[in-house]
Amino acid sequence: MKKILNMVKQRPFLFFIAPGALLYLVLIIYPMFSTFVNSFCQWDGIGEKLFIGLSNFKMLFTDPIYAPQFLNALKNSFIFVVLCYIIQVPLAFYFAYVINRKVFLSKTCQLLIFMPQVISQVAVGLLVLLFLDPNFGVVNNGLRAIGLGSWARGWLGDPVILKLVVAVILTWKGIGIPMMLLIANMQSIPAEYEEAAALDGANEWNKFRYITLPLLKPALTNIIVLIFINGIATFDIPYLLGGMNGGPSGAIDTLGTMFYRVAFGSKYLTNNMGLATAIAVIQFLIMVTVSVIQISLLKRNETEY
Amino acid sequence: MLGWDDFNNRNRTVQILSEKGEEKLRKRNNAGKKFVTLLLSLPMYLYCIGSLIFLSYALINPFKSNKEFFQNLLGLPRQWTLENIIQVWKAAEFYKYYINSIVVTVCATLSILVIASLTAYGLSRYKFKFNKKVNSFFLLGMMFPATIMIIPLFLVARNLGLVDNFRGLVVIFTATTLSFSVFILAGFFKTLPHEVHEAAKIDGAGEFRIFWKIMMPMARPILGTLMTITAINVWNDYFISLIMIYDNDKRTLPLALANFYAGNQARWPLLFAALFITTLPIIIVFFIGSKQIVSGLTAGATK
Repeated sequence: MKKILNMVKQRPFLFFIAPGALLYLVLIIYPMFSTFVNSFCQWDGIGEKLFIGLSNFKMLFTDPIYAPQFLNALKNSFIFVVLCYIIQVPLAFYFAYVINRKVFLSKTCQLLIFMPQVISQVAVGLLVLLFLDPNFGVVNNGLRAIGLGSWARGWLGDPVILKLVVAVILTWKGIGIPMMLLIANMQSIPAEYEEAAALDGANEWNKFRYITLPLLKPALTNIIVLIFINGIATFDIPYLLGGMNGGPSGAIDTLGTMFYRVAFGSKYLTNNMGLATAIAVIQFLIMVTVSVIQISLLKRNETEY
Repeated sequence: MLGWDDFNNRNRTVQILSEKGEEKLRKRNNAGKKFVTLLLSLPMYLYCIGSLIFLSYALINPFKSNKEFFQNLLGLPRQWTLENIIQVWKAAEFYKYYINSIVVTVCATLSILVIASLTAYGLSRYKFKFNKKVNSFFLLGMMFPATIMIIPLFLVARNLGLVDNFRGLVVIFTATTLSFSVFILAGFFKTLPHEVHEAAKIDGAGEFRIFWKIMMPMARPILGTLMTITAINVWNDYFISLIMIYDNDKRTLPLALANFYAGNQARWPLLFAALFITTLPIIIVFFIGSKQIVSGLTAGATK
């Protein structure tokens, strides 16, 4: 005991690191390691683990029951990422540009656009469910009130609309951060650049296209990765809107909801933890690949003012 | 024949005329610019108004009585009533979930701040063997979202008695946000001058005292940012609580809200009241601390 105390006294950093290290090893590193091991095992979460090599991964791509589900979930996850890119990136750009010009009420608008970020996913999901309800939702009743009753429909029953709804919610909730990153980056561009361009006769569009845009590359890279990671890992909103099965015929089934379904979905103890973990590992590998690409891109694109 | 005076006068007139013209042109230009700016910012105003309407749906409907709600789906309440909100608060026991959420958020945030600062301080202020390696080892966790390792995490937590209680939630939130918090804090501690440390040592302060009394106060701004990020993330967390908590009495607000929806699908005004109770306070908090929250969350997202 005295020996240990002496050791700590000579190495004060041990005292500082110990509590964090203990937590980290037990609750992060061990589960992390265990996740990789489990993905090579057949395991229901309670009984014995049986090592089966790469069979889980093979199963995800070839099993007649799981493969279509997995490929659909993978496809949907990517669809959400692409939809978020299409909606979020131009919109964030637009907001940042307008707010940076300090138009009337720009500060208030900035806060309003950012606000959904702090509301919980559950509340947002529930609000959307009530908003789009076919009978009592405000959208259908609003349409009926202005004589467009024929447009009213069960919004959440249509696979295409449902996908769009999820992407729009993700955008509404998440656009604040990309917007703020762009605003911060725009403000760091020296005003002389634009003035010089204006003297040379550049119009607004040319100033934006040839000065602002190239200098925003680092922020843009960050945003693209941010949206990717949020999109590929999305769970809460699809789960709240479509339940465990990912909506009608799996329209919004993502890697997250499929993982939850395979791991915790069955009440009759037929959960396949090994398979679920394999899904998680694939998700992880996708994310790591994208992060590595981001880091290398950022290094190449460093701009000096 | 025109004399000099005439010439000068004419010149002046031309000058005045052209100045007037320029001013007019400038004014017209300015008006044009203003119009373009307005046109340019119009979609943003529309977006904000739409956003407000969407939110007000949750902020107005709880005040309609059950009967009025189904007759008056779109308009403002004709008779404002607090009945729904009181019922959700009292009968559905949302006050209890509120307390749960507050307890978990406060404890988890404090625990993260203390443990992460200790770790970050130890890693960034002392020289020891493999310092760099240990440092990057601690950052590994940032690459692992909790969703991916939730199964083993759940099993470990169950063995340690951390499932289905607040103590467990606090410990688990501390662990899952440790890497990110250490990353942010270590970056800051590295920038503090070493002279302060040495001066305090000469004055006879112990290592912990230096940390607690000198370094921590200097880190106050960065601790504030970190506190904002963690508090909001913990307050809104759904996935980890969904898996770690199953006793009804121990639910946090997001869990309670989702559960309340599942159990009361036809009772619309009550659902709105539940939404109202859970969202309004966070919106108010956001507008009070908006500067801190916006910058904190933005800094947190890019790592």
